[in-house]
Amino acid sequence: MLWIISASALAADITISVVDQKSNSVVDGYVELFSLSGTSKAKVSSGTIDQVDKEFTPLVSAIPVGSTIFFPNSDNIQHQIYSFSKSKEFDLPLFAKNDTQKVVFDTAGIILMGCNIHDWMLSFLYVYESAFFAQTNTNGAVIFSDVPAGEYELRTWSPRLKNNRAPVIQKLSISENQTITQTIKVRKKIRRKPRIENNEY
Amino acid sequence: MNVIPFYKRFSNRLAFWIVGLLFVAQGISLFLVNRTSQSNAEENVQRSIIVAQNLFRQAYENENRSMQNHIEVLSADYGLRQAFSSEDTATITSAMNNHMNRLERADWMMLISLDEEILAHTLGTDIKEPPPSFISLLEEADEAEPPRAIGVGKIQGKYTQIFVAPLMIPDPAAWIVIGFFYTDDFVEEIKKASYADISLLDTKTKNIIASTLPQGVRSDITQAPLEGEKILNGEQFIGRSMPLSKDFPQFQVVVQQSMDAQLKSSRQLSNNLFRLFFLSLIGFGVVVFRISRGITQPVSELTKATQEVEKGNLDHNIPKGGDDELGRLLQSFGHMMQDLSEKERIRNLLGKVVSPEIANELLHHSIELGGEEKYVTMLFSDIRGFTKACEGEDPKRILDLLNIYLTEVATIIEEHHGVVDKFIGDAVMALFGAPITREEDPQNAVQAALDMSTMLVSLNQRLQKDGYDSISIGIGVHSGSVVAGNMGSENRLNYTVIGDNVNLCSRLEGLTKFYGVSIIVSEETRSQCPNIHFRFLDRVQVKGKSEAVSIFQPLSVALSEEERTLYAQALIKYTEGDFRAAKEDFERLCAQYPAPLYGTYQQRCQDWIVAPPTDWQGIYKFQTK
Repeated sequence: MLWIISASALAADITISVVDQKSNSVVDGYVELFSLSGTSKAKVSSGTIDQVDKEFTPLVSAIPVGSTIFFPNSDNIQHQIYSFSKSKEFDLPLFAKNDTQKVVFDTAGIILMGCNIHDWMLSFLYVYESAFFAQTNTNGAVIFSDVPAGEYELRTWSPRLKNNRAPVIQKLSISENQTITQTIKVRKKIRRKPRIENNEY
Repeated sequence: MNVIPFYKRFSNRLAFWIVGLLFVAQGISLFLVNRTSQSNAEENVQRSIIVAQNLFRQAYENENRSMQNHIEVLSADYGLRQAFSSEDTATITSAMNNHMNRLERADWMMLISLDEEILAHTLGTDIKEPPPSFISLLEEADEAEPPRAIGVGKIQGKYTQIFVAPLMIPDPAAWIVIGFFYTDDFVEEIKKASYADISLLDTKTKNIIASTLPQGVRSDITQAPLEGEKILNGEQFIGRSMPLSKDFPQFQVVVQQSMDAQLKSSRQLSNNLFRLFFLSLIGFGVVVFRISRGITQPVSELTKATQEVEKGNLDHNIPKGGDDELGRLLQSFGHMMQDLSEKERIRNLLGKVVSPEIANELLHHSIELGGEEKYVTMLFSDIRGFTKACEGEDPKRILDLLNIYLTEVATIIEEHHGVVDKFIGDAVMALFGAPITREEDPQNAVQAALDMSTMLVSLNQRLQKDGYDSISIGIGVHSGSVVAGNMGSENRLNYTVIGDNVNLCSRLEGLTKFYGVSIIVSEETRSQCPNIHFRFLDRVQVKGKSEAVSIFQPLSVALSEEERTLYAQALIKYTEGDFRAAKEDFERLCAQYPAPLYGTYQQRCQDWIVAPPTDWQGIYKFQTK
């Protein structure tokens, strides 16, 4: 819907396939086409990252820059959410159920959040700027239609990226329909502290 | 006495064998003890090495585990996250130093960015970038799941165990690297428990990372082979090596145990045993020598005594033995010798008192009263006119004369196997055929009588020289049955013979003076002496005897043919009672062959011419003894 509004006379369909270093499709990837001319901004909205059974839900989420994320707590214990990410550093106080916290993410970037009392709790938040933003489909591809011609940054990210604290950025000039294959170095899985299963708390 | 060679002496052989056996037995036991000690020591050394290896392994694993625990805590440490996020090196260093105070085992800590740049460390000095060994560990950790790595590296010239884990915010944001240095103290701790020397080597660089060995000998252990026997500082060591862990075969842990230290006590035992062995050998040798001397000394005394007895010396003095069996044997042997000596003295004395044969008979048969009938030849001799000759003479001189004479007589009789039955003053009674009978007894007796006559010639010469008068003797010889045996009382008895024939023999001796001959032999005896010449003397009937006997004179030289013929003719005439013719013949004989016998016959014929005998049977009857 967003891109229909911003469509101009000269537009192109861009297909981006994201593969890893072994040419496998990356299905948990996120692709953002950021217009260097400042057009096609994403609209502010909000989202929720719940804490259920000592896990962030969802594990990976994305919101436009300036949006607010609500942190409800579905557990009977308290959590203490922090982020040391450059885009948004915060350290929420311990909060219990029914004491939903909220944070406004006003800078684009990748945010890693954890809980100070549960080492394994991990959540990724992609704060994007562009209207051209999507998660890869089951084929590891993203299709943007009616992308206005111009200079762009192709930002590709996956929580499994070897350096997952920032997207891989590539300059891209768009003038016509294109199919781009973007290769990124990923790990097999997300690295996190193992959960202590036999501990109730 | 032959001297027994030293090695053949019983005492020496006994001592040699016993001491030799002891030597062998002790030697074997000493050898076995030594061998057992050696193998025990080897076993102990091997065990101690294994213990040390296990202790090392355990200490190493404990150390690693505690370091891993440390780093796990650090990887999600709230404070460290905060410090890291400050991006202020001083703050991060301070936070890490704070942690170092908490971590007992860690010697240093470092924080390295994911881009492998040192963010902060606690080593104090200026370290710009991580050493190459760190980089490879970081890469290893980055690839690993979970992202951890352990390794051995060098920092500031010191070997260190390195532990790598990520700082999770909440996923890996940087690398936490901590470690402990390998120092001599680390291995010293294990030595305290195992008593084995432990060294940690870098086989690639031949560097000794840590060791309990003194500095001087450390370089020796890096020489291959690491295992087996080695002489370090003059001591024998047994060594075994193992990798620090299977991941780092480059680093070898060499455990060494001194064999000398293990053998020290067993060597001391060995030395003491050897001393004991030596002393007991000497002690045993002395004891055995004394015991064997105790056995052989009495034995050699006995041997000496036996040899003396063999030689006939019964007066050999036997030393008094001990109170044991051998001592008693020695005593008994001494008593036996005394008894034998006594017996021998008795035998000698007996031989002087009675003839040796009788002495033997007395010594070898039970002495009992009573006798047996035996055929014997008897010899009676007497010095004529001895009683008269004694008158007015010094008894001592008479005894001396008698002893000289009787000694000669006894010697001759014994030479002819006769037995002097008794001396009766100057008279001698001798037996031939008692107690031992011989076939030639009659001949022996006659020959003895002849020898006595011959002896008298030379004896008389001797006597004359000594101022004695010459003596003449008469000898009667007769054979016949007598009773021979011990006669007398229970307490005092004589071996002798009795019977008619004894009396007859005595009578014959008495007739010698009458016929003017020195020897008269009865017909019974003469008939058994074919090799001796005889002259018929007469046919007589002695007093107290009803039977007549022919009597003969033995001759050392035979009569001439003429004399014999003439004498035979004269005797025939005499026997026939033709005394006149006989007298003539005897007169002729007297003239031609002067002999008292012929004179006696001439006189007898003369007498009977005047008063012829009644009932003449050619027998001359003696009315007196």
